[in-house]
Amino acid sequence: MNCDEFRAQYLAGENNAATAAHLNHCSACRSRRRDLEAGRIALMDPATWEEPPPELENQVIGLISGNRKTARTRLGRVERWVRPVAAAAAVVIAAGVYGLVRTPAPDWRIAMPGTDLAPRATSTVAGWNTESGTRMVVTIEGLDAAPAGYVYEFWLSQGPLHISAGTFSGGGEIDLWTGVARADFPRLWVTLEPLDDDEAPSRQTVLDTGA
Amino acid sequence: MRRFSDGDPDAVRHLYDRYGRAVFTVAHRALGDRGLAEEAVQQTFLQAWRAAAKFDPERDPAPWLYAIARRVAVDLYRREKRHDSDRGEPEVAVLPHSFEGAWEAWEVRSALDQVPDDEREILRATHFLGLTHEETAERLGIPLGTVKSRSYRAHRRLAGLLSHLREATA
Repeated sequence: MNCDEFRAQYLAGENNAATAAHLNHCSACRSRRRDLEAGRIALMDPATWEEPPPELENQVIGLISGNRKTARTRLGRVERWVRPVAAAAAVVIAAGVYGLVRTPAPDWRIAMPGTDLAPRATSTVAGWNTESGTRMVVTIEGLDAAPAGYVYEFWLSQGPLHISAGTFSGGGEIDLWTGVARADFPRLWVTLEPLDDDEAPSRQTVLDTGA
Repeated sequence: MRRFSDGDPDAVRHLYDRYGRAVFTVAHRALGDRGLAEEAVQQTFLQAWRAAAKFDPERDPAPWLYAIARRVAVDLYRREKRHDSDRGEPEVAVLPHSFEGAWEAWEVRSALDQVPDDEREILRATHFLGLTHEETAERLGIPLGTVKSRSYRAHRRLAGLLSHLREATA
């Protein structure tokens, strides 16, 4: 029995004298045993075999297409308004574009300074309260790109309850969404997170409004 | 990824075809509800689209998309728990057992999507339905020898596709 045959049989749940003998002398297959067992367990899980409804694909495409059109419409309005003004004052235009793209004005805005782990970093969070949640635009400067295997994660917290609003890889302007209300979560903060299964915030806080 | 970032429907369809079922599996497994899982799929791809401009196209998108999907599922779970609370007070941040093994579920579902239909049919019959080879042959109306050969090919292929499972979760 070679390694391919062993792994196929082990994944299939066929444990017999031949597989036992192979496992006994093959360290490579012993090191793969945990993978194969995890795979076998996942294969028996009904959720693995659940199929999404066929219409979901078009719903996803429509959702993204709709958001894209909304963004373009906003930008189009901005461009039409900006063009005649451009000849007058470029500086004013820049401010006007920024204001119009973000129309309506945010419901709130808060500074989120860098911590000791990111002392050069500064950021502000602008938020729009909606019936279904909160949209936030985070503008970050002076924050290094997340190293490979890590992402930054934005959190809203109320005491021990932490809600993630999304992940990103570096500074700039980041558009985030959360299904909760800002008023319920006084603390906004950002951590550096390894890409793993741990759902809790890491201890590596890089930006923080404080409680 | 650049075309996806631009919202190109073909690029969105391509990414969905490759990872949509895996996102659905992770969400359905974690949340235990088809409706919430469908919402999670939509939110995952929407968040991915919003973040795609900052994603390094040289990287494998699977771990990135998985991380988004899991976070979306966590948020939906907490939102539902919060709505369920009589006093409207949030729950302590403890997730149920169903969130464990989400990466393995993602990987297995992604691997299954790369297995030919006739082989996946055998895997479903033997693992999900718990049928023997004889019962599978009877159910599918094909010779027992065909079931055995397809089963071997399917498991061999699947074992190869899952070869990086442990290093990815380490």
